[in-house]
Amino acid sequence: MQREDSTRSYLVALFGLMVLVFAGIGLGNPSFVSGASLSSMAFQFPEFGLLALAILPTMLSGGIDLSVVSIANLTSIVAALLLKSGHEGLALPLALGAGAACGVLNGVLIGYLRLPAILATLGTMQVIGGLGIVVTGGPAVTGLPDWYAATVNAAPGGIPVPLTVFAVVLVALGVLLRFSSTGVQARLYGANPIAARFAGIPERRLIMTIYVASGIISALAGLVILGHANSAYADYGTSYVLLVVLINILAGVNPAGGSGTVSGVLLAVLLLQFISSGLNFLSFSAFLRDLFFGLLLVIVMSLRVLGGQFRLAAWLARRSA
Amino acid sequence: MRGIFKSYGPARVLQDVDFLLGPGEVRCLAGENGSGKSTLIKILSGVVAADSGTVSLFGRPVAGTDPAGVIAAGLSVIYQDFSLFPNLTVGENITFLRAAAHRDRLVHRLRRRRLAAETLDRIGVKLDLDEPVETLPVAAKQLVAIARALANDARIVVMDEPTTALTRNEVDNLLRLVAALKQEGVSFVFVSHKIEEVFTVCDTVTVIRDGKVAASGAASDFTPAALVTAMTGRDIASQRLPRDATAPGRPFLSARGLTRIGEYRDVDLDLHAGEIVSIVGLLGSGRTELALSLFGDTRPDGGTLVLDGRPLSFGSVRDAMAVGIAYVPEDRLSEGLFLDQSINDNITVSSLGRDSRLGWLNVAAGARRAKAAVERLRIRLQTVAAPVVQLSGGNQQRVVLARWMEREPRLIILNSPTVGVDVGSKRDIHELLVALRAKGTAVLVVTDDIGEALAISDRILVMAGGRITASLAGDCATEHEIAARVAKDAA
Repeated sequence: MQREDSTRSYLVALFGLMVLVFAGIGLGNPSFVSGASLSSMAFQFPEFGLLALAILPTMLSGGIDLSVVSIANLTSIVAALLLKSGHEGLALPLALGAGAACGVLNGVLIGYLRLPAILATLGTMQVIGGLGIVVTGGPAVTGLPDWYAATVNAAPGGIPVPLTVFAVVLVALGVLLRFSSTGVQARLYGANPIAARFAGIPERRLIMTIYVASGIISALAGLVILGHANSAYADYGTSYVLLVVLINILAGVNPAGGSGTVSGVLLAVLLLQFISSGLNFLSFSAFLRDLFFGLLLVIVMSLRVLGGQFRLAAWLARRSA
Repeated sequence: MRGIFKSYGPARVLQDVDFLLGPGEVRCLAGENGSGKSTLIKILSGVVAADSGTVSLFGRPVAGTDPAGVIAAGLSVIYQDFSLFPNLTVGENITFLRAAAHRDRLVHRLRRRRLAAETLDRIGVKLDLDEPVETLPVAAKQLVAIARALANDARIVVMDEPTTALTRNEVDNLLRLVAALKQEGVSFVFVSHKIEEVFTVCDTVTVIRDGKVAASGAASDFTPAALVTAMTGRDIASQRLPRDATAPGRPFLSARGLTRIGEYRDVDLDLHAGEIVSIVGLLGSGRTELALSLFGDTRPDGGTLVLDGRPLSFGSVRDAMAVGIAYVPEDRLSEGLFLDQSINDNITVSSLGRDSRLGWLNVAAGARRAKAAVERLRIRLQTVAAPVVQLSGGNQQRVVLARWMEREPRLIILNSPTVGVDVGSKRDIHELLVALRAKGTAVLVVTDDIGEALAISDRILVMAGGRITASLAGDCATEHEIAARVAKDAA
């Protein structure tokens, strides 16, 4: 059994499941596959899809970033305030800068002070979220120039802008993880941090790079959210935190680090979007959404463990041969 | 066990293997990694079933897989990692199996304590029953594992590589204990590939090679050379490897008065290009700690390091790597390898810069390098894309070596490089080190295998209590002399 093969067979299974769900809902209600429905979904999923991509490199390296939603919200607040006050040229760079700065904070805590990533980012989630509340005083920042929402919600050539952002980040991250030294080192570090130290992987710089990348991708998510909601709110989408962790698990990312792919994240994001929209199309209550997501995660994880045991048995057999 | 056959898929692992053990007999099961001896143990202990053949235990046939039944019948296997519960106390660990076998539903605290105390008395060992096992040294853990087997009325104890993690003194104690229990009628199966032990403790030997019994008989009928030949299928002379006559020049790396509080002190050390130096010492002598400081992983508190005549200090492992130092860690599974990751990545990880421009990797070039390294080091595998965990111990160690060869180090430090490696691979690794020396690399080997130190070293340093207590020329020293120094200086 090869790792590459097991990852691939899992992704194939995930793809199959996604197609099944898509076809099933489509048969149940043909308007699900209509242009309007697809376009509406294409505007929805990039938001949490970007957040899921932001977590991927951190989980690949054996960590996690629970502060992605807080970072997205803080960036959208920064951008909103700048847009409102007429500093339109500064909005984008400073928003991305804010995301990167949050990533630096996480990088220092995890890479230099060696806090466990889950605790460090749980803390920064509160700090960064709290900062947003302090800056805004609580209520949402509204009254943005019209062009911003118009741009984000446009679909030049039929392709929604958020989808383009998501696709660009997906491909860029995928290429980085596979074809850059940093990407390979992140995966190996996730597989065994002690061996990584003895192999001379630059631990602190690597962690810093990973969390800054996570912060910047979160910032992009924040900019998409800002356009969607046409306002910036410090407490937006707090339930996204666990959802995007779930997406990564569903995507076949090993929670202990060392394996995970962008294609898995793409499939998991689409699958959840189909289920979420499909519930509406099949006239189920939207209240069922969380139940379905939860069941899906539990079932997929159980199947993976069962599959893993069978493979493990085969491996042990070969090993003792 | 008679006529045991076992196949996994197309691989025939065991073919017509007979294995007999009488009461009070100590039989060695010898064989290289991958010979099939682990599978035989698994069949014996009821973990896997044989395809054909019969297994009987104390005269009663054992059918299918029933590990709990086998344990209850009186056979205990002590695996290499001892399978103890690190967070439980000594007493709890000793009595756990028995409680499980008797299906105790309640924990009889007092009864269990008494049983644990009695068992430790029986093997003449003093340990605190309330100490958590994780804080014990390796040798004590092993004693706990033995006590656990005995507490469970084991009449056959199978020990898988029992001496791998032990020092010479501890090995001697273990062997004495085995001899004593043998008098009480307990039988032992020793799975080992350390030749000397076979002759000190075992009555009989079964050698397995390629899934077949290659030799079997009384230990006294074998010579060490005959045993090695039976295990490997080829003759391996155990004499020393040729030495380089050229006198070393200026040292590549010198340490003067190197000290790290609580670990080692006042270490003077010169490592020359084209020289193999070994440090022998017991666990806790400071040998690993010293090696880690030379690799920049820890910082000395005092003393100086001079490299190529210039003083320097390492802030990190990367500083040491930058000046051409490589380190093969002690435990390849937890410190050396990325087990689930590909052989390719495991080899290229420390030299990614060679295939990359501006941080972008040329994946094909890396794969070519990995393949070339695999051929050079004769690593046996199907594909470099396979995870390294699938390789045998010897091949895994070659992967770690290959990783550092890719950096063409000027000094390579190897910590216990041949632990858990079969005889053939051990020889290959030694030859590799000699080849490195010929290319002008400085080699420092940290080991507690004195035979290994003698086989390859130009100089042997004895370390005890954090100091280097002796420096001996490799070609004059004898095994006895060094063992005596190691033991004496430690006392």
